[in-house]
Amino acid sequence: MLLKAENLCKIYNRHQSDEMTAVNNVSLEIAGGEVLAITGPSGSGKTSLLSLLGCMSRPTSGRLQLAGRTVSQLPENFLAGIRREHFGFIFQHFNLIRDISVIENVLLPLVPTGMSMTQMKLRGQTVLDRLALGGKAKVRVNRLSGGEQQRVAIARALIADPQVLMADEPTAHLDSKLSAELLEILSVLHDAGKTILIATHDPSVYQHPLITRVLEMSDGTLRGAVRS
Amino acid sequence: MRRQLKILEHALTSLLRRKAKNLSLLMVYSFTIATLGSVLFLTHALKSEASDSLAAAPELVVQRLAAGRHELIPVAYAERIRTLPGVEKVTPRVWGYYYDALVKANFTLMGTAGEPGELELLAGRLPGAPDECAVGSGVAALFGAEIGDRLVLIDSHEQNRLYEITGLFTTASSLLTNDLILMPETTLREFFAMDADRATDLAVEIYNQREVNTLAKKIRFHLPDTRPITRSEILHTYTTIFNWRSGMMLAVTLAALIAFCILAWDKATGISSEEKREIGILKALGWETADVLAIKFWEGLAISLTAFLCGIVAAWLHVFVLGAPALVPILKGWSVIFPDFPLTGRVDLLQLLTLAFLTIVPYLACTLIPAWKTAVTDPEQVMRN
Amino acid sequence: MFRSRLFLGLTGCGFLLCVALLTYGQLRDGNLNGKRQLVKGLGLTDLALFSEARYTRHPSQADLFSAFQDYPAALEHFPSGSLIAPAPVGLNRWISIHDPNERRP
Repeated sequence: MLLKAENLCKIYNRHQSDEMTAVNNVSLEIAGGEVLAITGPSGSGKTSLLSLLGCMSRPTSGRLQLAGRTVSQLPENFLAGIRREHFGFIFQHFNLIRDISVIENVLLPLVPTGMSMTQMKLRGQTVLDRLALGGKAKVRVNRLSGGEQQRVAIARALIADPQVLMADEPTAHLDSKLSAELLEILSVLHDAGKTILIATHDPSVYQHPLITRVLEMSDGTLRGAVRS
Repeated sequence: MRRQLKILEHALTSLLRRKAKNLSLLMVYSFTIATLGSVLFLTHALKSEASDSLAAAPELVVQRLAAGRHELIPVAYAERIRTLPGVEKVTPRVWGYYYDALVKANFTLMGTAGEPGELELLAGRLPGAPDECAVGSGVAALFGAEIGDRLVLIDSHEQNRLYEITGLFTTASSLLTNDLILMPETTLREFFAMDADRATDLAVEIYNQREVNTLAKKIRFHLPDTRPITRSEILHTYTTIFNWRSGMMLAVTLAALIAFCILAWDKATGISSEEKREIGILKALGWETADVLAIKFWEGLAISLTAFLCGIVAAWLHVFVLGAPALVPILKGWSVIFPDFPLTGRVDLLQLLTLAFLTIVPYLACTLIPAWKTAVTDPEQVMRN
Repeated sequence: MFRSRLFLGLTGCGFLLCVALLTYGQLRDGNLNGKRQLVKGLGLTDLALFSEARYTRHPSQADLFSAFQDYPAALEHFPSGSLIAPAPVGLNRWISIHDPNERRP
């Protein structure tokens, strides 16, 4: 089992007047190579669950195991290394740094590593070529179209060759053509052995043949086949 | 090392993305450092100039006081002082002040008793004949005079006196001789209508430097109406003069420091939402807190170190090449003639290091602390906010 | 990594320039021998900086009276007076209490 979540809870603004439970007692098992879609309306807790599973935030209670190792209560510094080595995240709004080039954005996860600049640039160019962005390496991100920016975000998520790819509403800013292109890219990555978690409310995504399992999120709780 | 270079690269890219803002920050910071540096350099250079040059001042100068005021001293006192053990030589000095109503300037008139001769920083020669004089560069500039010209002064009997200029003190000596008019002692006595048995004060030379204070006490004891001034007191006057911790220099320094504090406060009161978002993204991408702080550190250091170096070089050029034109009006006061400031570039390294510490470290702290608060937060929380 | 190398190079040059300027200043003697010759030969005691008044022109020689000749708490007449700190403690500024039986020098 690659990822195992036990009774995960995430409460924001705890003990304050605007306390909110985003994830409520969620248990889940994910095997390597799965493509899991988490659906649900806006505000149901999909992004929060994805953040917990991707070690981007620590649960208020509960346990998360990655490859048999409990990671949920590790200090933030250890989680940073785990994020870098095991997870690639594609954010809903891409979260690219707008005034720098495509290649600079893509190489961001590798900057604090011991890899040489030459090796980094080579790897970055390879990933961009795979996503048909090879000729736009030096272009500033704010000059790209939405679809191109999406692909830059994917390239950035892939640069460190993570085991698990997480995508939060990946088709939210794309038209149907670009959405289809995105799903093709995810298919290729799945064929290459990546585990993919997608939070989406788009039926064209969660009903796609690529998806191996669909779970429904509602008011912070999960419904569906929680075990792989 | 490689990792730090990559982080530095990213930090510089980040700074260049906000070119206008960071450039204006750099300029204000450099200007503040240049102002502080100029004050420090100027005051230290003047103090060094004084302590180096005036190290050859008379070991003891004996004045006479009457009713708390400086009075002419009887030349006979010199004989009395000569009898004291340890005294090598006593020379009565004749000097005084002269106000020229035409140019509204004060000059210092000094009498020479020695042979007319040459000095390294004197173009021409010292005056020998009764109607000769040597003048400082400030005096010459004021009257537009050169060697061979005649200087007209009005003596104590309201008579016009003409003196031929035989020597001009060079600009290099202007800190010492700018307002000086030198003439033979007998000529000066006539000019001031000073009796032959009186002098302005007495210069005393001593065999053993360590006996200065003892001799000064003896002179005070034997001649109670005198006031001996030792060379160390003369030098001490100038080590405390231009103290940047007092007076107008303090006002200038404080103004510059306050400007710097405003700058640092602006940084310390929090980072922008854009910067927070970027930190959140970097954390989400696997950057550790230390890596994020390293970026902020390099950003802060790039600005503060560059500003410091630029400011110090600008201060040095301002003071030692251009002659401190921005500070001269503060120093000049109401002086009509003022030296040209050919200062030697002496700098107090400790002051410089203190300035570096007091400006770079607080700026780095003001950059790092707000960033740290964001960097230790879960990235999801940062991006959510 | 062009930018980082350029920055380090320029900063290094900046440091060297600072060190060079500071060292140059320290090594230059600035006509020191000539100045000392003047001071010794003419018996000079003060820098010719402020010629507004006698106590600003010769601060080391000024008597205690001239700066306060109107009355001791008079406001400073001249701007340069604000630059010159009050007279330092010296031989003539001490108040010393002697035992009347003490042997005088």
